[in-house]
Amino acid sequence: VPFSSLLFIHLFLPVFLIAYWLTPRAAKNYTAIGFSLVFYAWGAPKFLPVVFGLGVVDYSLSHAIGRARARDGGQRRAKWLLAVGVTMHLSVLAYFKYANFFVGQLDELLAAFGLGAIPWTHVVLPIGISFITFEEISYLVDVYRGDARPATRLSRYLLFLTLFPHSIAGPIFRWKDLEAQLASRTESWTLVREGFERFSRGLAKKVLVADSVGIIADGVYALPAAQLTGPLAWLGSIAYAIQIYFDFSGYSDMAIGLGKMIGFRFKENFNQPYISASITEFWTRWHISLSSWMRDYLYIPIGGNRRGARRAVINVFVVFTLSGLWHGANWTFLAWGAFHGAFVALERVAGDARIARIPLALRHVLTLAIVTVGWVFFRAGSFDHAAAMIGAMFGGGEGAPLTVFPAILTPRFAMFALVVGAVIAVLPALWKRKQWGWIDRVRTWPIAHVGYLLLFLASAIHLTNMRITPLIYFKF
Amino acid sequence: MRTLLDKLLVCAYLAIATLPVIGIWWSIGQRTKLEGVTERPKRPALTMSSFVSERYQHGFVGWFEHRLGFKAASIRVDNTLLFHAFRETKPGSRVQIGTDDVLFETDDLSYLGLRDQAAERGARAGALADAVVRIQRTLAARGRGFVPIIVPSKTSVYRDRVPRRWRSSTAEPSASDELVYRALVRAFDERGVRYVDGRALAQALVRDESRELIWGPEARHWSNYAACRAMQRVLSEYAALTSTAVIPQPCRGAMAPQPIDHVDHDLWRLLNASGVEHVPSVAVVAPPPPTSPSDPAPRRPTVLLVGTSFSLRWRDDAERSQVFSNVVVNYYDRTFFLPSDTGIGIGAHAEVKPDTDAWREIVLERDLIVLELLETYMLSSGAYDASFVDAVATELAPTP
Repeated sequence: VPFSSLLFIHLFLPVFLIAYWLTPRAAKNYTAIGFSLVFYAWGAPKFLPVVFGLGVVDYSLSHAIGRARARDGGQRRAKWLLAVGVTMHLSVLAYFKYANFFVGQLDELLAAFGLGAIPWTHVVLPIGISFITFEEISYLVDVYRGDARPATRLSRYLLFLTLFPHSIAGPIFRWKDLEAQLASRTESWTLVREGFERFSRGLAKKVLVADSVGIIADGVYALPAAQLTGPLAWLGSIAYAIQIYFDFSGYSDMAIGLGKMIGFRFKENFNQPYISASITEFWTRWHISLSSWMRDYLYIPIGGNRRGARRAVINVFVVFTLSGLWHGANWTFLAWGAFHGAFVALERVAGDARIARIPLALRHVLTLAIVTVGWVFFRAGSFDHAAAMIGAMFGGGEGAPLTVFPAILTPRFAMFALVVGAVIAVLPALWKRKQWGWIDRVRTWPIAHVGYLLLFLASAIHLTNMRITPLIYFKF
Repeated sequence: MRTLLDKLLVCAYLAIATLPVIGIWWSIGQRTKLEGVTERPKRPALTMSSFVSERYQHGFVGWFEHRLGFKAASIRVDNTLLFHAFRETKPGSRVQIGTDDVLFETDDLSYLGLRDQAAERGARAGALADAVVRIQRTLAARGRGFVPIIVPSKTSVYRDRVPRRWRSSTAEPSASDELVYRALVRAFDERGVRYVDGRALAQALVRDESRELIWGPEARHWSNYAACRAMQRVLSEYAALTSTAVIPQPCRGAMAPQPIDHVDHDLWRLLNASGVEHVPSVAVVAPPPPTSPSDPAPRRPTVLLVGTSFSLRWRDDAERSQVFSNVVVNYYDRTFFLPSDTGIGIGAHAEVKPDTDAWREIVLERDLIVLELLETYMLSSGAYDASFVDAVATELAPTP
């Protein structure tokens, strides 16, 4: 059930909240688990046993690791158990997410040698498997490292995994951050109101901006290569950059808001990424829970920057490339990760002092341009498609007559949403540097609360009149 | 004070969230009418297999979203904002707003914007004309009429009101004019087909009379008056083909205010928006003068109209004018609309397959068959025109 659906907003959410608030404190976790399982089962009933089973196995493994660590000389056994756990999760991820891709690649190779395809039934990707897998791995690793204690109750661990605000598209939580809140949390009217306001903000981002702007991006990306021109390709790419930011950060806002409604305080997942002045900075502001996961559970374990500058640069590149592959089983995702990895590595090589010599405004523009070009790999279905888009962006478009009406490709309201989205995404770069504190003060005025309420109403009304589009990150 | 505000706001959020659901069970907020809704999904039955296969979820979402309270009001508010702020309808809407708020059906705009497909369509003109001329001659030899009529798309009459944003090229004539419409006209002329060019007729009428009399700015179809004038031409062709005298169909058009549910306000109603200016008058045809008892009893032919909703409009006119004795409509060559006195016993709406006795009785026993060729769809792949003509041609083909 996408958060930005009528079923969620008008049925699931109010029924859940009322049930949750009426539940005695001691049983609140069970109510949350029950609704979370219904939430997950609604979209992927066949995979509920997989998620549930992995949770139970994890819980047992974490306790075994904890016990092994506590014994003298048990470190080796703990490491072995951790390896079993991590291998199990990566195998599950590999099967569900990458098996089709690898079989497809193998089939192409076999075809090149004139051999037949491998008999294979397409594997359906369970919703949220990438996010859940990473949370499970981080839990086992943290227990192994002694950074976290094994869950004292299975119910708490299952709630950690399945809690519906984050279970299907992140943010990627860590057990150690939520353990205390899963055991006990306080709720208040203020927190619930804040939760609704944050949810409204996210819903509006998704429904009013991302979905509207997505019409332009979808239209341009659907054009045959011959019809692309430079301005059109840039328009489509910028539209997609705005769409994916408002889509995913809107979802994260909704997740954080939902958490607040039931007393959770989740970490931020976005911090105005489009105001970044370098790609390195961008990755401290975009999908923070993933980039910090990659840093703590991949970059540092493979050596980080402990083995010299050259190795650190290679590590950065490897981590970003794998991060690209995490997003999807396609060479384009791998290329997207490598593209970002290359720029982050380049910034490392260049060094902060040299980068600082570039005028700040130019750094902003360059960063936005690089990120926007990078999104082409992310959005395009193939290298050919990405090459056509990027070629057109840099002057290679043939510009054959359009077979789609301008009115369909660039509806006025979508263009308006694009401008609004771009201003919201980029303007903070200006006000943060100019110290426009009044903007932050306005947010605390009582009228701002009414504004959020109206935003909620407007989004719900608009949602009623549109085809409900799932979140882009659902498919990861 | 702060907590009170928090409580009030939380209650307001919950009210916005829950009222539409409460509306499902207590029918609140369901009084606003929504035009153009044809689907009425039923609530699915919950079983383990339907849930696991996710059929239940899809069915439930469809039912839930259809029944939601305040749905029509929400849609009207959203459409109203879109209309007034951006002069647009929502993506995927069947109605589009032209210059001076002349309304168009999206398919008509797509027809005007045809490019490569125009040539593809035009390539079918020869085959259709070949079949039509054979049928026309065979049926004429049996004293029956078969008259094709090209019906214009609204964009052929209101070309100047199609905004640049809804045109892939402003070149005149358009690819659809040249490669579809003219290709068919040429094919008919070359083969000596007797047909009515309703598009040329409508364009001539627009030059001589007011455009609103021929086609309302809020209407998908041409007016009763234009339809009547076209049917006059059809009857002339029928008379020429069969050497039969028919009742002259009188057509006296005038503009008159009509209630909002009149068919010529259909696109305006489909906007489902408020505060949109509306032209209350539409073209109507004055009723025929009463026949005198001393007049000789004229022959009233039976007729089959094959085509789209434009044919349904002729059926209504035919009932008014009493030119025909029995009118059957073959809607998109799928569903037959039959008058109650046909006596075939298949009901008022029915799907009748070719190569059946019922089909032969309805189709081949008619005095006149009118094949409506609506520009928007004519000659398109798998369209009703070719399928109907093929079926008739097969029936009429001499058996070896």
